Amino acid sequence: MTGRTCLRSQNLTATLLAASLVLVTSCSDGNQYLNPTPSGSLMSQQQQYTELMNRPTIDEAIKRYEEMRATIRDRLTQEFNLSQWTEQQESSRFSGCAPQFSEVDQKDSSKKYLPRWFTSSPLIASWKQAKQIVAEVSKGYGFNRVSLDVEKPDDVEFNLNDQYGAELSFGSAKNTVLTLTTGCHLSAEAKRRGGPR
Amino acid sequence: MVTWADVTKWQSGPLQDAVGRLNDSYNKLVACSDDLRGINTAGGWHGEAASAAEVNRIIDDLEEYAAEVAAGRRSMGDTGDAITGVMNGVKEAEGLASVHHFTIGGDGAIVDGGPPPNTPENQKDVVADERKRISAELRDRVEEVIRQATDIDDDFCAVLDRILSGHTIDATSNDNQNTSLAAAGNSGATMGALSVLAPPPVNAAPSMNAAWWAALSPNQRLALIKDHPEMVGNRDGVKAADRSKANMNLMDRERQSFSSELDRLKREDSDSSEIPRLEERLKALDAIGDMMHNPDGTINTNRQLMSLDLTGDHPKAAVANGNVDTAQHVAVFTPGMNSTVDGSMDGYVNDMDSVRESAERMLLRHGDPANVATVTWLGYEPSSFDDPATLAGLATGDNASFGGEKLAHFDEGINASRPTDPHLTALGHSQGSIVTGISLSHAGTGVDDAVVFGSPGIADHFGIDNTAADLKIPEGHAYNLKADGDPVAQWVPEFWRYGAAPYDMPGMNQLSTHDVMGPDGPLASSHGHSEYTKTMPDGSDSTSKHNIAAVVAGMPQLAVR
Repeated sequence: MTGRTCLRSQNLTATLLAASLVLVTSCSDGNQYLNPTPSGSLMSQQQQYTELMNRPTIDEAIKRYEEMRATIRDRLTQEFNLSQWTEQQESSRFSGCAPQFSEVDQKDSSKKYLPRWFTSSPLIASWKQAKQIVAEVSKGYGFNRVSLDVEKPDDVEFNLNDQYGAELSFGSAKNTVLTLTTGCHLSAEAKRRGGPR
Repeated sequence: MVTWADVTKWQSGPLQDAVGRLNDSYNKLVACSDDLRGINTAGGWHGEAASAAEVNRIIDDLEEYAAEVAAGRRSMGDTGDAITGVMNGVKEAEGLASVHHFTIGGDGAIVDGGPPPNTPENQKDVVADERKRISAELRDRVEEVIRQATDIDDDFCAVLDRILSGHTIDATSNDNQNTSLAAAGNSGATMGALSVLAPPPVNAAPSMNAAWWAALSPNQRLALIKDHPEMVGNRDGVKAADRSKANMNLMDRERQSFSSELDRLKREDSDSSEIPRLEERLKALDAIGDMMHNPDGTINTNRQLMSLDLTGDHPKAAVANGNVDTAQHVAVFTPGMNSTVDGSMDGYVNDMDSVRESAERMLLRHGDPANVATVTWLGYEPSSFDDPATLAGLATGDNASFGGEKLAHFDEGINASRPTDPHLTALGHSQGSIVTGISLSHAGTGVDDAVVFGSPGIADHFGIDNTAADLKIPEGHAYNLKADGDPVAQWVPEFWRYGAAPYDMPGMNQLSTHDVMGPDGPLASSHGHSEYTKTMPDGSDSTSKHNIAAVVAGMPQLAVR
C-alpha cells in the first residue's frame, strides 16, 4: 500500500514537473514553439508584400525557369545521348506560401512545383560532367547556391537555389530526374495592386 | 433471409433492362389521360353502362395501374442501381479475401487459408495480428453487404406487395373529372422509391464503414455526399475523395450557418461568449478554403479534405496532399502544441507537400514512379497557450489519449477504404508524437513506419519501461529525430511522464538532424523544436526533412543516421 501511494505521488510530481518543463521550455524556445511558424513570418504583412513585390510574378518566374530547364535538358541530351525525357503525370501543382509568407493572402501568392521531368538513362557514370552542365546553365539564371550534393555509388543528387528560394533538383540513380520548385511569388494582379487586398 | 451465396449471384442487369420496357408501357398509358377526361363528361359516354359509378371505377383502376407501373419502374430502377453497390461490395470483399489467402463460404463464414509458408519466424506474430485484422474486416464486409442486400430486398418486396395487392395509391380519393394518369404515376413513383441504407453507428469500426460505403451504389453515394455530408465526411473507412467532396459541401453549409448566427448575435446579443467561438470557426473555414483552392480560385485537385469537425472547443481538420485513395505511400502527420486549423495548419500542409515532393523524387530516381500522399491530421485539440484550459492536458494527457484513439481509427480507415494497403507512415511532432505513439499502441492501424520528432515521449503512462517494441508496427521501423537545442525532446523525457525518452529508447532508430557534408550533403541542420520539417527560407532542405521523406518513401537506406 505504501509503495502504491509513493508511486502515485511520484507520478504526480513527475507529471507536474514534466508539464511545467514543457511550459518553461516552450517559452524558452521563443516564438517558434509558441507559434510554430518559421522566422519568415515574423515580418509584418506589409514587409512580406514588399519583399514579394521585388520578385517577378509567378508567371514570369515560371516562364524563365522553364526556359532554363529546357536548355539543361537539351544540353544533357546532346552531351550524353540520353533517351527521351518524359514528364511525370500529375507532378505539377500549386502550393501556398505559408509559413514563410503567412500574412500574404493565399489568393495573391503561390509557389509551384513544375512538372517533374525524367529520362530512363542513368547518369551516375558521367555525373561530374553532367553536374557541371547543370551548374553552368543554372548559374546564368541565378542558381548560385548549392544546397545538396550527394554522391553515393548508386545515388547522386545535386540541388541548387536561387535568390527567391526556388529549388532546382537534379539527380540520378536508375532514372535521371530534373525538378524545379519555385519560391513564393505574387500573381500579376496582386503585383499590379501593390499591396494587401 | 438473404445469404452470402444469394448475393454473389445478384445481377443488376435484368432489373435495369425491365425499366426500359416499363417506361414504354407507362408512356402509352399516360397518353390516355385526355381520352379518360373525355369519357367522363356528359357528352362523352353513351349507352346503358354509362353510369357514373362504372366510369369512375374504370378511371380509378387505370389510375392505380399507372401508379403500379410507375412504382414498378422506379423500384426496379432503384433496386437495379442499389444492386450495383451490392455487386461492388461482393467484388471488394472477395478481392480482399483472395489477395490475403482467405475464402468466404456460402453462409458468409470467413475461412483463413493460413499465412504465407515463407513467413520469417520473427514476423509470425505480426503477420498473425494482421491476419486477425483482415479476418475481422472480411466479417464486417460480409455483414454490411448482407445488410444492404436485405434492406434492398425488404424495400423492393414492400413495393411489389403493394402492387400485387392493388394498393399502390388510393385512386378513389381524387376528382375523376380532372383525372391525370401522370399525376397518379408520379404518386406511384414516389411510393416505389427505395431508401438508402442507414450508415453504421458513429463509433463503428472503420472496416464496417468501408464495407457500408462499398455496398452502396454510385448514385446512392452521390446522394449522401450531397444531401447528408455530415454522415460521410468524418467517417473513417470511406474513400478519401468522397470524404473530401462531402466535407467541401459541409464547409459551405457550415459557413452559411455560422455567418447567419454571428450576424444575429452581433445584432441581438453583442456580449455573447458565442461570438468569438463562431469567429474562430469562420476563420478556420476560411483557412481551409484557402488550402483547398488554387490562387485562381479553382479547386486544388491535389488536396483532399479528409476531415472537418467544428464541434468541441476548437476546430479540427485533416488535409491531404495527393490522392490518399491511390498513392502507394501515405504519411499521416500529427502536429503538436499550439497548432490550430486557422493559424498554423496551412504551413504544415505546405511543409508536408514538400516532404511529398522529396519522397516522390527519391522514388522516381530509383526507378519507381510511385505516388505519395501526405496528410496533416489535426484531429485532436492540442494544448495551447491561447487557451489556458487546454494546458492541463500536458499533465493529464487526456487530449493526447483521446487523440491517439482517434488517430488509430483514422489510420485504420485509410487501409480499410482501399483495395490494396499503401505503405503507411505515421509522423508525429512534439505533443503530436505522444498522440502518434498512443495511436500505435492500438492494434490494426496498418502503420508500417513511424517517425517522431521533437518528442517528449510516445506513451500515455508514467515510467521508463516502454520500448519501440510496444508500438504495434513491424520491428525496426520506428525512428526518432532530436535536434540540437530542442529542450522538449531533450529534457521533458527526463520526467518519464510520457514514458521513456525516444532519443534513448531500445529499438528506436535514431536519425540525424545535423548539417551534413561529404557524400550525403550538404544538408542544413535543424535547430530547436520547430525546424524538423522546415524548408529553409533560401529553399534548401534540412537533414531532418530529407530523412523524414526517405522513410515516407519506404527508402530508409537513403536516410542520414
